[in-house]
Amino acid sequence: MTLLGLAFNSLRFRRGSFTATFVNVFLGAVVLMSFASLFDTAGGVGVSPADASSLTTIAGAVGGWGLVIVGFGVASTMNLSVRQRQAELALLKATGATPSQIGRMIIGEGVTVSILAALLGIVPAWLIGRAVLGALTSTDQVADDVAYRFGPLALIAGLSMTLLATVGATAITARQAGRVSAREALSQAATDGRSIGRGRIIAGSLLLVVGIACSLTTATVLKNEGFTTLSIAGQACIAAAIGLALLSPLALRGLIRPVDLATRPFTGAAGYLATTTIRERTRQTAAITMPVIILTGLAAGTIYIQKIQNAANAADGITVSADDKGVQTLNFIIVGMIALFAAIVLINNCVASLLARRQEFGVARKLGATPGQILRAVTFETMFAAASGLALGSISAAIGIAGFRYGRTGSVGPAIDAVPFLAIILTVAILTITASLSAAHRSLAVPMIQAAGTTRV
Amino acid sequence: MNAAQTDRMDILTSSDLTRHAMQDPLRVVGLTKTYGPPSNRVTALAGVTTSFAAGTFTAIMGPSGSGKTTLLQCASGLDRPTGGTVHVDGREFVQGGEAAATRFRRTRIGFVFQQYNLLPTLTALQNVTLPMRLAGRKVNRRQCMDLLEQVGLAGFVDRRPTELSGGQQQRVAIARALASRPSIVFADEPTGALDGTSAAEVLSLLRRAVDTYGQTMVMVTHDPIAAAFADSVVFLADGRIVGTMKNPSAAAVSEQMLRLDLARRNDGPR
Repeated sequence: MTLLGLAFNSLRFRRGSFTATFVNVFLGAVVLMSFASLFDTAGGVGVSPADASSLTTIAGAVGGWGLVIVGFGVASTMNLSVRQRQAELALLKATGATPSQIGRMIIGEGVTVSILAALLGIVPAWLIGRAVLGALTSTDQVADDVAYRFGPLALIAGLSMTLLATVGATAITARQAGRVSAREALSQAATDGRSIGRGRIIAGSLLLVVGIACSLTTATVLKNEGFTTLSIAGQACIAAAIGLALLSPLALRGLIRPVDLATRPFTGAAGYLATTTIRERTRQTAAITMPVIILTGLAAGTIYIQKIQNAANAADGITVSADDKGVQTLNFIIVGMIALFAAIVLINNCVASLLARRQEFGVARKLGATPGQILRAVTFETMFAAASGLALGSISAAIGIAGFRYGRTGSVGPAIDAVPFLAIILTVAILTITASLSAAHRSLAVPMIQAAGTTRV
Repeated sequence: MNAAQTDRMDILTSSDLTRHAMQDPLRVVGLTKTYGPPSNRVTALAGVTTSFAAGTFTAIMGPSGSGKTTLLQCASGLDRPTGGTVHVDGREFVQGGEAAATRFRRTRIGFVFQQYNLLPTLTALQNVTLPMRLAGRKVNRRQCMDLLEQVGLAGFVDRRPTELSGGQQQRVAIARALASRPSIVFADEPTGALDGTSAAEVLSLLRRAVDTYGQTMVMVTHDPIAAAFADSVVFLADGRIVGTMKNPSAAAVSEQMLRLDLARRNDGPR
């Protein structure tokens, strides 16, 4: 029998743990398909070449980075869920499954969930795509008579790209899972993520350099090129954010030491538990930090770049055209959707990682940790993860903003309006704390003698 | 062993009860525990009254389903009994919320579990100091290092549980249980997951804690060889104490266990 049969079995019995992956892929597919349908629309009969070109430009701009971010989000959640199943996978190994069989099983599970999620995403993608076209026609970006089409390109892009992201993510995860020996995994292998792959560091550094390079071009050769400058500045933020997200485990490990020293007098045993967990399971913590970086970098970058553009236009006495307004609206729609996706990944990762720690919490409770101490430890962990994410996300936004601002106004001074930034901080704080604490509460609701047992979720 | 002997042992138990006073490290009175709805009630403990004197090592034995693990969980405050009282050092264990129960037991009771229950993110030394940190007490690092040395892990203080064998992990757990100098240590099948050699080492360590520090120790086990390390054995069947034995030998314990199994088979399961 095939391990694929086992995969289906495992899907049926562990529905809860696949929900996170499902939700991520579903939303990712919706984002990708709704914008890919603009390609279909552009290819429709009677669409003027100018309209077709606007549509493909918009769809392309979202497509590229949207794909990267969706892939990234799906990968981080998938990685988390497989990591938490190491003991189960080790059991399979111990009973004779080869690493390649386990790999096929994990990929089989991931692909099954992804196909289901992507198919269910078709209808909402169709609705959103139509709404985006509506927004484009009402702001005169394209002619009113352009008919909406949701066709093969949307389907191919949505399904193939989400599948590609899933297979890529699971393949990497499966390879990691396959490397762990049965003995290691069975003996409560939980100190994962102490090593950070060299490939990850190289990719992260490269993306960070790309972000800085994009920012430099907007400050120099490409300044005052209108929409192009604006979109390259946005891409500087995204590239830097993804780069920093990849490098975030290094940053977390660097930050935890001073934070630990500074907070130790106040946080007691809860802080002690939290800091050791962050040190020993940096990648688990990074699963919360990474979506925060992307959310912050993208949202802060877009909002402030747009503000600088508007302020500079006003200063130059340029009246904003309907076209510019349309671009601005669209820009916010795109960024809003990707930010929403990052927010969902954030919630997912918080909930998935905490529910899976029920047994560990049970052990701590038996050893004398009160539920309050565990909740405080969780709060410390998630606040540290979120605050680091906000800091790194702000850096990535600043990279994009600085270059654009210099190119547009000749100065690099900070933007004055703090309200949007505070709103982002508040949103991230509320999302992380609510998601983590409600999941931790659920983990603690189980009586401790059951929670600490070896029974599966 | 015949019926008369068993009876004599029961008398011994009750005379023991009148002898000791409220000062015993652990005393349980009329402890009951039932599960399920009234229509389909399962009784795990049907009223257990007993006391454990300071510096004694007691094994609790019984067929599976006799309530021995439930007794340990209720007496140690890990679970809440349906009825009856638990007294630690003469103070009644107030069955409040989990936080209150945890605060009461964590300074008075130490645990050794079958599955070691070490936190994987902490080193051996950090695991030993954890209960004291959780209780907000000052950590005596030197004393914890000494304890780890005494359980034969001097060179392993900075190892994490994944880098230790099962026997080594259980020895860390013993050092952890002793570190806060609790009134009583509960061991729940401490050798259940170990091979013979490691099991013997672990049992000798428990024995030594009783002999050297006067530690009071209560151990649940199904293994007559393990029970032979104790000063006395309390036999449980169907949620009741059905006998005790002083200075047990593995052979005598086995024989008594066989008798209990036989009696159970004749009566049929409850």
